[in-house]
Amino acid sequence: MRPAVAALGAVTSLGKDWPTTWQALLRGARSSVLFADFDTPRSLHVPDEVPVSAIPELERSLTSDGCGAAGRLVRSVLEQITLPGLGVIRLYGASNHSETDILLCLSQNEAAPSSLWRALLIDAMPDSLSWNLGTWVYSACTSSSHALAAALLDFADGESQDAIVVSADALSSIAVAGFWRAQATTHKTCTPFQEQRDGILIGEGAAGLRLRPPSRTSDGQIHLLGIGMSCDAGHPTDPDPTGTWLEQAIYDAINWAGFSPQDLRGIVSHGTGTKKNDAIEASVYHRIWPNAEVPITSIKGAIGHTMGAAGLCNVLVAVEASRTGLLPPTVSNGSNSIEGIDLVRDSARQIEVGAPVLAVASGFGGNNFACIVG
Amino acid sequence: MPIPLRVSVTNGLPRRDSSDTFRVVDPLDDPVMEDNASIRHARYYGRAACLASSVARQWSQRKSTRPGRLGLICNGGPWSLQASWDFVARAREVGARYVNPLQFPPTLISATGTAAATAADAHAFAYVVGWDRFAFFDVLHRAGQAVRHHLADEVLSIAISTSNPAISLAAKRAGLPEPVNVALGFALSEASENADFWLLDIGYDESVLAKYPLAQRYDAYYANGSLSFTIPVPLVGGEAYGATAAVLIMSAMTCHKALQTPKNRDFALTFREEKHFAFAVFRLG
Repeated sequence: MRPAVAALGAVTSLGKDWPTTWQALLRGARSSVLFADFDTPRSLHVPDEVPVSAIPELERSLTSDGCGAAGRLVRSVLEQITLPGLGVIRLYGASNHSETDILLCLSQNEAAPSSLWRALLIDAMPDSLSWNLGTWVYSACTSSSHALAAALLDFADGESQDAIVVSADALSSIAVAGFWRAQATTHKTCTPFQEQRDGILIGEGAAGLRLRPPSRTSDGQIHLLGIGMSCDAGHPTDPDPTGTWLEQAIYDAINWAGFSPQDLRGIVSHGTGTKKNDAIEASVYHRIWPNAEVPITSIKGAIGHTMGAAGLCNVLVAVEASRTGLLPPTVSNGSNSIEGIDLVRDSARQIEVGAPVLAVASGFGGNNFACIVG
Repeated sequence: MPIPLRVSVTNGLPRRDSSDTFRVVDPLDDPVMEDNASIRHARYYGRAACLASSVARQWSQRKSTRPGRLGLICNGGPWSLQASWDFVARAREVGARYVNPLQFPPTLISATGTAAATAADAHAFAYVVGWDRFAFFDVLHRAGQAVRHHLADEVLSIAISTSNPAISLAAKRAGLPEPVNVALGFALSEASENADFWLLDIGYDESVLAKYPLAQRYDAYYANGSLSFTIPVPLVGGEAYGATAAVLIMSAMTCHKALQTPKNRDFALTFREEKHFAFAVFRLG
């Protein structure tokens, strides 16, 4: 079973819906503000100079049941893609640090309602969605990727005929402070796979994708063709320096789809903009495609690292790239790209319409995920 | 009917007197847990990650599955709350500039799963699933699915429930019971003649249960916080949130083994809360 992608939805720093975000990505737009300019609780005393990619005008107050900015993002995406349809829709969700706002609120307000304390024990976001059939996955920055895997397997088992995979993370003071303290944040511009890259642009956003059985006619639909996953099972934060397990995940996805590496026409990489990740990821691509046959892009310089939603954001870009035949450019600072890869930069790159495109994600704890659409 | 899956069980801490018995962990065991967990910077990770890693390590010492074919899934819950709380408290006190960066990774809910995967040398995948009392049904469902689709030869499914000062405070303020400390491991692999237990079926459709004749099975029902059962010995309960189902399953298996109830009986566990329903059927060998 190769389910078809029936609808896409997103809220990012570049757009309140997916079409706006996609057009901005193709133009090479990027969004970055200083964390100090951003209206979030600053009680953790994060220095003012940390750039982040924030969604303008996002309502960040907490409801009494603990639903905050991340919950609102999920609902917005669901509204975009929950079109009238047949049968029962299954929901597959994912998030990362969504409890941070609750924690901050409670640490400053002894008289907070008991429902907020409950929201700490039983995750407020999925609990408030009230879907009949739902699966909620946590695996750091591959959370939405594993949610997608669950949806695909349920399709294969005939347990689902209509599924929505959705993921969101709002800017979290813990995440900003944590990445900054780990010296992983960019100082100015996040430029993945380029020699003068200096770190992550922490972002926020939501992505959603609706899966339906494939139609019998070839009508330009894009399908989920294969997945692969692995875990480095080594360091809590750093990727395995050999990239062995990431490579394994990519080959597993290629094999699942019944392709050879040469069949792929584009890669939407994890590409965080950190020294370590990008060097290791590029070395893996170079091993699989030694002649840099496949163009590679990263969207994290443009919309930031959307944490739990990052894997699904990459899948959305891969779907749209295959559908339109355009790979959006990577944000560039003019420095050279890492040797041995074909980095798409400066302007969008044309690829064959309908061609298979690979989306990659990795996360803390060493999880790796690869997905092929086309 | 789905393919039956072999279930092997393990608990949180090595014991000299027996191997597979159910055990609630006492907070006094924390130093032992940290030693057993053998994870980097264990003291920042807290009890859940240490306990899950201890289960995983214990399992890895007797497994033969290749690392690339072993997956790991844990149930979700507020286990990272203490780490997040400590991080926030430290940052508010001295500023983010002076927070130890080692405190950051354990603030993730998924840290429990990936720490355990490191301990088990599980390279197929490692993630956390579910957030409520149905979480362990989701864990077993995903684990079985991964084996059937050959994403792994074996999936270590860890049920975790722990308390700590932050969870105690949250539970007290919310008027909810404090979770017990428990870690149980259920390894799912392809069916084997030698197995003591098999997972026959798991799902969310009540009508499927009718396939398993009432006369040949024991039942345990957990509905809106209260438990009833037909197995002829008391089942051990306790508020274990996402691990509640695992506690009951392990309890039934332990009773079956210890009391030698008739062989090849099925054990069906059903959970109902408001409009949510889930079931799992095991064969007690």
